[in-house]
Amino acid sequence: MLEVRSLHATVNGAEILRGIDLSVAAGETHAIMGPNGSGKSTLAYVLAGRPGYEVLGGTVTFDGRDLLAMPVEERARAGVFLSFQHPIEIPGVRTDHFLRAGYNERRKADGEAELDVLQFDRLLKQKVKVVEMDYRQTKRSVNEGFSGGERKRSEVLQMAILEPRLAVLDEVDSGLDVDALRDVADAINSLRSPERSLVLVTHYERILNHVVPDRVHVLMDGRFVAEGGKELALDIASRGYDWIAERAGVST
Amino acid sequence: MVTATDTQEARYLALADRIGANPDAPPWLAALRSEAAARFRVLGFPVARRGNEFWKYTDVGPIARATPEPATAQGSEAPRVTPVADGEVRVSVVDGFVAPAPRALDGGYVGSLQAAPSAVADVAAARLGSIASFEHEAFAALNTALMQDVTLIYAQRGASLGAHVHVVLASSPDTASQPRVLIIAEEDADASIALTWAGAGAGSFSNAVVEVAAAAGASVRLLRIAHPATGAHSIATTAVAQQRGSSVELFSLDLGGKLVRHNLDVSLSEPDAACSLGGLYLTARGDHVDNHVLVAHRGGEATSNALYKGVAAGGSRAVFTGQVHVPQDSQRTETHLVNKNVLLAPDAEVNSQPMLEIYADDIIATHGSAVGQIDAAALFYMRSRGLDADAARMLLLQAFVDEPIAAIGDAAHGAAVARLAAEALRERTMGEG
Repeated sequence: MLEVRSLHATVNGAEILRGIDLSVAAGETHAIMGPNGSGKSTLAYVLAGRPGYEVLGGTVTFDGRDLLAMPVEERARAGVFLSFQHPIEIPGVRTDHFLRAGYNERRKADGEAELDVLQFDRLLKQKVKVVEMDYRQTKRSVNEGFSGGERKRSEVLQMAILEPRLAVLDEVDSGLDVDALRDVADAINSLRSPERSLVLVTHYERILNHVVPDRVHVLMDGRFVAEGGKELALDIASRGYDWIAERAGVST
Repeated sequence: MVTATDTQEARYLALADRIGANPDAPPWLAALRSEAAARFRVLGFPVARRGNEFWKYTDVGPIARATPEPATAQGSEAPRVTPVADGEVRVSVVDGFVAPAPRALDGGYVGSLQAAPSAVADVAAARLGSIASFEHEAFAALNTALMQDVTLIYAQRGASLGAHVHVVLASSPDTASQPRVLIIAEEDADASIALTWAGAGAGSFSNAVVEVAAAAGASVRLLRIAHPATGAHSIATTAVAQQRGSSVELFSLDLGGKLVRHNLDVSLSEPDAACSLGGLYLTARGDHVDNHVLVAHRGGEATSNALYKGVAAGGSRAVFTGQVHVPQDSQRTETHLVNKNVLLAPDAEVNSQPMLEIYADDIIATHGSAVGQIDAAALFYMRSRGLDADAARMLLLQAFVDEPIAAIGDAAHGAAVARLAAEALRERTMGEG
């Protein structure tokens, strides 16, 4: 589904990604771990197409299409979803209106009829249950005044509604207490399917105890320096990143 | 030396002489016009120069140099305009002349001052020219000197006008006109009025003056809609005098134009008067829109609230100046003044100047000003959910303009502004920016 080959990218002139290779098949869940500043969020943004993140070389194909050639919104409509580490506040734009606008764009791209307000509201009422979010919160401005946990639930709600083929979840566990983490993880697990791939970008292994990955990749200094199964995450939990850095010969 | 300015000024003054020579005019009106003409002769057109704060950002040279024909009769037909409210009473004013037959309305009168019942006309005669001072303002002087017809909206004591009133003003091409509107709400009266500037012909110059007298306990909701005066010049002055316990809501919607200036002067002279001023200006390439708001608290214990927002597309300029004056004897005044702007392109320009002049110490006052751009992070966030960039910008701008619109108390006015603003953002501001 997702094929990343020798990807190099810069942000503000600094090369952050220095040769990334990644293959994610349909239905797989991959974890990308790494210390702060290793390039994890940059990789997530490059996949989503954030302006200012310049690709210097390499290729990314998604379902055989050249992802890098697609504008941000086309990637979303094709089924790529990014859950933001820091979801953006949009004062004055109601969450439900925003969700319906995005959802209908996806439907249009798939050649399906758009949902009107009432139809969408029915869908929304089902989906808020999946993430245990208060329905009334969807009447509020996007992320405005939301707590850290509410923002992350809102991100996963968006994922539940947009039903992406590939979801990149950037630090979806940060800022969550134990109960919220379990709720969010349960919601993510309920959204796993043989057609949907997940890429979990995370510093800590915490979330991976709940959403168990098929593969774990360790990113340092813009490159993958270690790969393994879920047990690699446990190693990192007990021993930190230094031993991997030493073995790979990079400074952290 | 004879310059073009002298020439056009001279043409206006010659018309003032002709109007003044009309023996049929009532003496009080002849005296008012003659005084104003004398004042205009002294003031001349203002010049944008250092020290002239009032006209700092708007050069009226093009108005002084243009040579539209001063209107002496109604020219073209009144334009078609979407109603603001169901069942509204419509008055068309073309080139300064009131077109339709006068009508008595439950609770008052709407129509030309000349055709008003004598008791109402007497009240109007006493108020006309007493609210919009022309001592220092050349355009108010010019209008007063040359006004030939007055649109009168009168709400009698304790009455609620039986319908929304909608005054539609238009100018024929290459014509200079001086529309004059007088709104009188007597004690405890209630009125909702919309004024639409529509159908400005190319090369036209409209110089309007609107006077509003809100007596004790009166409630007036006034909406000004200025459609794009493409290729035309438009100056408008709205002067409001509020008495004890009166409540006035004014909303100004500017949809663009080559040279548009709106002066709004509000005088709160007695306690418990409250005014709520809202504004929205949306400019597209080639537009110059200047809003100048002056609120004078002249007695204590009154409240004023102003929120103006603007969206300026590339190649356009918007100006907002807000001045609130609270003299020493105006204790327990509450005043808030906020202006926020979004620039859509690097070559858009906004000048924002909120100013408080406060000499009283027991008051509540806030003011703020912001000029920014569309939030790039929000734009990316929305696009990452599948919205294209234009749709995302539109949602963000819609949210931006919703704040002043939501504050409009008159439901019909609010709905009209929401509809027109959404259309203008989509078709003009964003389309041409």
